[in-house]
Amino acid sequence: MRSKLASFCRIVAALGLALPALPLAAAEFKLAATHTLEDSGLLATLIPAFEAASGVKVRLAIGGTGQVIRLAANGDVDAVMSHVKAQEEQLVASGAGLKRHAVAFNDFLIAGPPQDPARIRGLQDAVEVMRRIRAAKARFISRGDASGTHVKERELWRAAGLEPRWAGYMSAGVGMGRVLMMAGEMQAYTLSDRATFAAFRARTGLELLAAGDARLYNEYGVVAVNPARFPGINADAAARFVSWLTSAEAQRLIAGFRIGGQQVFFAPAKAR
Amino acid sequence: MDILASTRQAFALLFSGDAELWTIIWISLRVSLTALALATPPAVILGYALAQKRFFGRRILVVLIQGLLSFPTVVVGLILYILLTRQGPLGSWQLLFTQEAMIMGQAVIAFPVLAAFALAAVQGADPRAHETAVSLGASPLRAALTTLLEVRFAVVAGVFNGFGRVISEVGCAMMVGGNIAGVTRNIPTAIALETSKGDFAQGIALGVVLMLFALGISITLGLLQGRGGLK
Amino acid sequence: MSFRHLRKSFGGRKLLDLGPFAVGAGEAYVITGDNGSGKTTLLRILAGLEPGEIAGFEFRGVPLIHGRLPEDVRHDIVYVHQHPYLFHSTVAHNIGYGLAARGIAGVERRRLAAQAIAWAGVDHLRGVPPAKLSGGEKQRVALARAKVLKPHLFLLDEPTANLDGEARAQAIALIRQLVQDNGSLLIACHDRELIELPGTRRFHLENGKLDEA
Repeated sequence: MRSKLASFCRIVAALGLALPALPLAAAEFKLAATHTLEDSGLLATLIPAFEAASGVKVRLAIGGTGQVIRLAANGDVDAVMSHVKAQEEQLVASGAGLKRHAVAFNDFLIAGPPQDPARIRGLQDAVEVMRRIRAAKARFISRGDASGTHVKERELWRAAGLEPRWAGYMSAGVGMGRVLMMAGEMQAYTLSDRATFAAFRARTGLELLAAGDARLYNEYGVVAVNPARFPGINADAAARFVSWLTSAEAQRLIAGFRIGGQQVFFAPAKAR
Repeated sequence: MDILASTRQAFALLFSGDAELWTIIWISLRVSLTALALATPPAVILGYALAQKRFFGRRILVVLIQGLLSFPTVVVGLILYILLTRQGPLGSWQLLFTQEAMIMGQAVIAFPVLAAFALAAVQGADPRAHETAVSLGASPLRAALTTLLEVRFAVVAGVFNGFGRVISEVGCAMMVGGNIAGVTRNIPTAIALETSKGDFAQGIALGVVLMLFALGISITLGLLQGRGGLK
Repeated sequence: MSFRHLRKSFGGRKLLDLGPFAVGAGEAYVITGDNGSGKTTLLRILAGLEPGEIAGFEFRGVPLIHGRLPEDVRHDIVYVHQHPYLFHSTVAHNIGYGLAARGIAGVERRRLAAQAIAWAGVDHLRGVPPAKLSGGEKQRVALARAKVLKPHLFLLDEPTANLDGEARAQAIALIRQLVQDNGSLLIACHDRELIELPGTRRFHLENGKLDEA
């Protein structure tokens, strides 16, 4: 009896000593990324390539920019990819993030039903587009989830001096892909990033009606979480991911990513 | 995230009569109660018939209802979506992403619960209740109503259980409702959204409301069970 | 009420195999027999609560098909359980139930129900939930509930079983009045005092046969 108890204690003690030494953190890397990166299919290209190059296993958390920034600010993930530069810089300024790196860019566009009841087809001025949609009281589906796309949409309403509040304006609170599906179902307009729109175009029957305004520029950035603030995070993997993402190899993958034969992400210009 | 601060904010929202918050609660109640009002009569009739009558296919129906009790709500949502989508057989109704679609989904989800409770209630009824009614000259319809009235607490318990199931259901509501603010955003889909926005106060406030509902239901059910035992 | 044959089998075993039998208007019959001899089953078949094989079934001269009794015939026969079941409402609602089923409106229904309540001596129980009544009180409410309908035939199943003392005496007094009021009754029982009730004929059920004692 006594010896059994003693050996039991020894096992427990051994386990207790061994646990912190287990390579828990080394293998896994937690990355938060926005819906548009996931829904467009870009992550499905980048992540396996990074895993193959580094041997690091990636765990993805997908959400709107608001949520993924929050995850990083709380130290719940090791790095974050999003597309609201101001929020990413705020993350760095607060000390929760290390440094922001531009990863890719594309643009937003206004998609809508082929009938185009608000007559916006071919317009370049995004503010004029919003005014016409509002004036026609056409249906418009907003992300409504504090995501990067939603932030951009609110910027446009502000620039147009309009309050987005009429019967046809619907705040959906779901990801980009879902919003595009809903807009297809309800024959509504919506603001989308180019990549997700390209991925969903065939399924929704929506058309690209307006694009090309400088205000529709959409840049994706990556920020590693600061290990000085959150000691438990996998800083090593995060650093490797950031340097890989900005490497020539990853940039070639981003520029080479195609949806329906079309390039939808671009490598960032040096100046940015 | 500061849990304490979020919680304090949540209660401030609840007690300040925040319009957005109460709209969400109102939509939840409206959708769920309408769904129950629609599903209860046919479900109770079916439950009564299954308990009281012997007909071809009865056993299959009983097994089917019991199986449907644990039917995943997202599958209900999926089937409804396929039916209601623009290209679907009911696409011309243009019901996808409306409260009507959510009501349909919740009625379908509540139906087996209501029917199973009615079935068990009538099966558990004293057989003399129906016989006494018949013997005193009641028509089949009056005898059926009398029997159901005798086990009303068990039938109502089914309605409360059904309510508990649909009021907190998120999968189907999200799929066919679309979580549109002020239209199809109910308590569970709003909680899912607020969390994804990283804004916890409203999520906590709505969670509190949902838990109060659950508490109310279980207290009511406890009282009903007390009454039901009083024969 | 009369029939030429009445048969009932349970799993191949013949429980009842009765020859010609008739209960005339104003006649009261008491049926004795051991437990399991089929007294209850006989009453339930006649009440239409249980299937059975009846040939030459007639009620007040009208030929009937068992299991498909017309409404007016169903309204003329009332069966009272050995342990009566009272609806979970009020004593008054219970007594008025059959009247409501016959489409008798509020004022008239309340008047008739009040008479029956007085007849059964259950006035003081009006406010008591039926579930709280004693066995004797339930039996009296059930007898009042049947009597108020003025049926042509009462089928009473062991109305005094499980009752004793005052409760039994009260139930017997009510049944005696039913007999004296020229009601047609078929009473299954063991109770000596009921068996010897004046104005009744006695039958004994044994081995599926009914014989006058």
